[in-house]
Amino acid sequence: MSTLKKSNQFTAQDYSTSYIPTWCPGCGDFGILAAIKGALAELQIPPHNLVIVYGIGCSGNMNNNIRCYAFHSLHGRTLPVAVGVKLANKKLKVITVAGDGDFYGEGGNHFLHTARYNADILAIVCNNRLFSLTTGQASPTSEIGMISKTTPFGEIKQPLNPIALSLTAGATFVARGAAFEIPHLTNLIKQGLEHKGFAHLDVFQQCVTFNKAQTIEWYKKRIYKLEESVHDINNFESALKKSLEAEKLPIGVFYKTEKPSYEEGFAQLQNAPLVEQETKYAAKELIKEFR
Amino acid sequence: MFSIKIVGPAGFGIKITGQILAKFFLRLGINVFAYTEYPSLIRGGHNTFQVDISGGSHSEERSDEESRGIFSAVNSPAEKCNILIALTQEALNKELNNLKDDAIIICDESITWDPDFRQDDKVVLHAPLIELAKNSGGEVMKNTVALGVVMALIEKVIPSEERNPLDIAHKIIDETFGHKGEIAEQNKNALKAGYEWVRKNNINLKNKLVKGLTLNQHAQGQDDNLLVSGNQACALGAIAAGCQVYVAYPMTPATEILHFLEAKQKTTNMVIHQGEDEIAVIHTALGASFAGVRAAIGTSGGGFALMTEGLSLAGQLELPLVIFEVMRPGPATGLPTWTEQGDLSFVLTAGHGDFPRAVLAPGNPEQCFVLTQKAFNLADRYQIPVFVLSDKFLGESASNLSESVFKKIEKIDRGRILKEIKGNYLRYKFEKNGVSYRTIPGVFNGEYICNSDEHNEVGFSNEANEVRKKMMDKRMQKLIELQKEIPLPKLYGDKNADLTLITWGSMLGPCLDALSRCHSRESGNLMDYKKDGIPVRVYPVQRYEAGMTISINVLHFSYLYPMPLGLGDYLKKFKRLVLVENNKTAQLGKLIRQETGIEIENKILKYDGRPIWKEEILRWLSS
Repeated sequence: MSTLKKSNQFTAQDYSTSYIPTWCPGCGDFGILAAIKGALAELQIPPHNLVIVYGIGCSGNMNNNIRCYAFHSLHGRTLPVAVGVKLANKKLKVITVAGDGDFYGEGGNHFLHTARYNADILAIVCNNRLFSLTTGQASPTSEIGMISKTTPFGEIKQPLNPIALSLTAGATFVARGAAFEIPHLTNLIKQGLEHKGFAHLDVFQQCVTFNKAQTIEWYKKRIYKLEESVHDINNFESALKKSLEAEKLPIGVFYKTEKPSYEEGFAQLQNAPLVEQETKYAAKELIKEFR
Repeated sequence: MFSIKIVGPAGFGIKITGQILAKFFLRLGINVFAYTEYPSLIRGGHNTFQVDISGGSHSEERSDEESRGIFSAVNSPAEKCNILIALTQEALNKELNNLKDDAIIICDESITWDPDFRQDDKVVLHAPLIELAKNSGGEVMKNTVALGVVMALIEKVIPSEERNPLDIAHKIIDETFGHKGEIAEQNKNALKAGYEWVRKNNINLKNKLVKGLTLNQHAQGQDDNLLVSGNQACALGAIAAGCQVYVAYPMTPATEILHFLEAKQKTTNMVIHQGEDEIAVIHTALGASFAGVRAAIGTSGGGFALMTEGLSLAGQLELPLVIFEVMRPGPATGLPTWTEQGDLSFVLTAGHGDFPRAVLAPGNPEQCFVLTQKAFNLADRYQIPVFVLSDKFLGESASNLSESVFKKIEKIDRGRILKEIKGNYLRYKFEKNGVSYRTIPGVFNGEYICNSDEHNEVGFSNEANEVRKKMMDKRMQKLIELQKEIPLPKLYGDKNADLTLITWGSMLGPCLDALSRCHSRESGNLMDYKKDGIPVRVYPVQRYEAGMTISINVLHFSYLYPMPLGLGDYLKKFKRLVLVENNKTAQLGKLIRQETGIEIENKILKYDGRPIWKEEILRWLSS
């Protein structure tokens, strides 16, 4: 990769690479990419202290477009990788970027458990309610009735509710943004990055090529901002209630609470990150029980 | 060699009794092999713990040190035992075919003995185990009473001038139940009650014991002897290698590695993570490896099946990873608590696409310790996944080894890692040996894309045909380089022997024990059991004494893949090869044929969940 000059100031441009995004014109991923870079610059997170773990899908192809230590993992597996990174080096900022099929489908088990661990990770889910890189199939968040290549007569399965799931699984920061509301999304990413613990950020995203139902216009008619309504983000029951709203779709922070993160629970990680320590081979002590 | 077996349902303290007995011999300086069988349940069933001992009968006259170790050690359990402690009638009935002709059976007086089995030279000691246990604090301690009976019998044939067997046993009981003082006291009383019962009744089976147990002259009383299982040795190897993150999901028979490392984390400073499933396990380890620490995972075949996509990912990302695969019989759930070498073909080909890997298969706990460290260095130096392939038999059996083994520390080599970047950094640079320099997150200007998509030298996704070809060649070059440092399989015994047992991994023990039965210093082939103090009643002896003359040696693979250069020519030097494998389809045989074109037609294969007994090898040889 090209070199950056040592500097105390990172601009949004410093997080760019020479690689041109491969998405369709008008894709929601452009908005998400801009919001991530904007948040990184605002928080002045040095690219070399940032790890982003990407899943597989259109959003996963963002791996080529942000300067950082990028880990392009497999479909569904962003969170376990991120947990490993964090255990090895708790000093790094760790973000995961994956789509709804990847994160809620293939990676559903990891989602539930990483929320429960409260690992210090910001999980951004680019939720366009279908599989797009594989040219349009129903996903776990597709609405009933949605027409796709795998549901030619309309989806008959219930969609899952990512926000309600995340809340009940134990995430300590739960929010929803929209790819076409970039300043709002940037702010949510900033909050997620500053949160200590598992931050889940579901992002409504248009797919201009395959999702003809949930377009930007469709969303704009339905979304409203939680910060502009009466909602206490520290109140779990209120957050759960908001997560169940279906007619109008709230975006913003649903819930935030303080709990020790997973890494903080390890006595051996109280001070330096593991990668700056060494394993002690105290043979005499270890073999005592074998005498 | 001499074998004592304790049997009964789960929950009867079979394992703890066996461990006390094994440690008792260990502390007398006697070679020990502890082997356990148990079904996949928590209460009931049939559990066994077998302690095989050998006083080192061959040791004095052997000149080279290595052979001395091999021939004096006991490397595998005997097919039939000399002393059986049966805690229930049902347990006794299940063991009737596993007794030597002159076996001693210790059981409660309430247990009946079918007179049909009172043949040969067997002796049944109907001891009041339950009554004595009740007097000591509870029926549950009848196992310890039986242990006292054994110790009183054995006492007659072990040197006890300075060391009172009861004192030694009491100390072990104290250590075992240390945190529960009253239980320790009750167990000591129970042990004593059994011991006294033998003395009071003047039971002396010395003549019977001496036949098989020639310990007097040989017990060395070494203080540095340890009783260690393969799993424990693997865990110690990981610690010695500086492994910092261990990730696993519980699965028999690999779980003991997880237990041990979890328990020791305050001493070692390692971080141990129990993942939500095996898919998460391998990916978490890869995340940790990417972030710069040595990482390892452990599982058995079924768990590894879930990990295969992550294995392929490790190959593509060129991240170091050590994988403990402790095999059990499949397919599917199979026999969860039994043993088999059935996953070799699987680990050789697991994961989609072509990528380099290494497979090591230790033959005993010492090799577990040494090869685990080797695995970490190979993983780092070649940036590849490396397997340590063991099985239930090796992983959960314990044998004695010298403390000095755990001082054999291989220097940690992290391979090509850059701490500082000058100019444009290329993570996947085309290097002659295929190994590019990697950076660890945190290094300024060292950012790259650790990319599961095919990529160029920077790490950017790239689908150009020439890039793909060069990148694949680069990755596979590492296998070619690695192969150059793989040693030939290790030969035990006379290189000119008539017949070569060719084996791998955990089957080293039974093969070596078979070899030591067929060994004679003078002739180089025929054995003379009596002269060497070996038990005369080992099953095939009669036939051997009838004049069969065949000499054997053992060729053992602990490095399975890549196979060493020149293997084909090397194998052609042997007169007659016989495969010895604990699986159905001779998976090593298939690998050898694949790599060298040599087909080994003679095979000793076993796949009933039990290890191959040395007696089975000897029977095959004499048939």
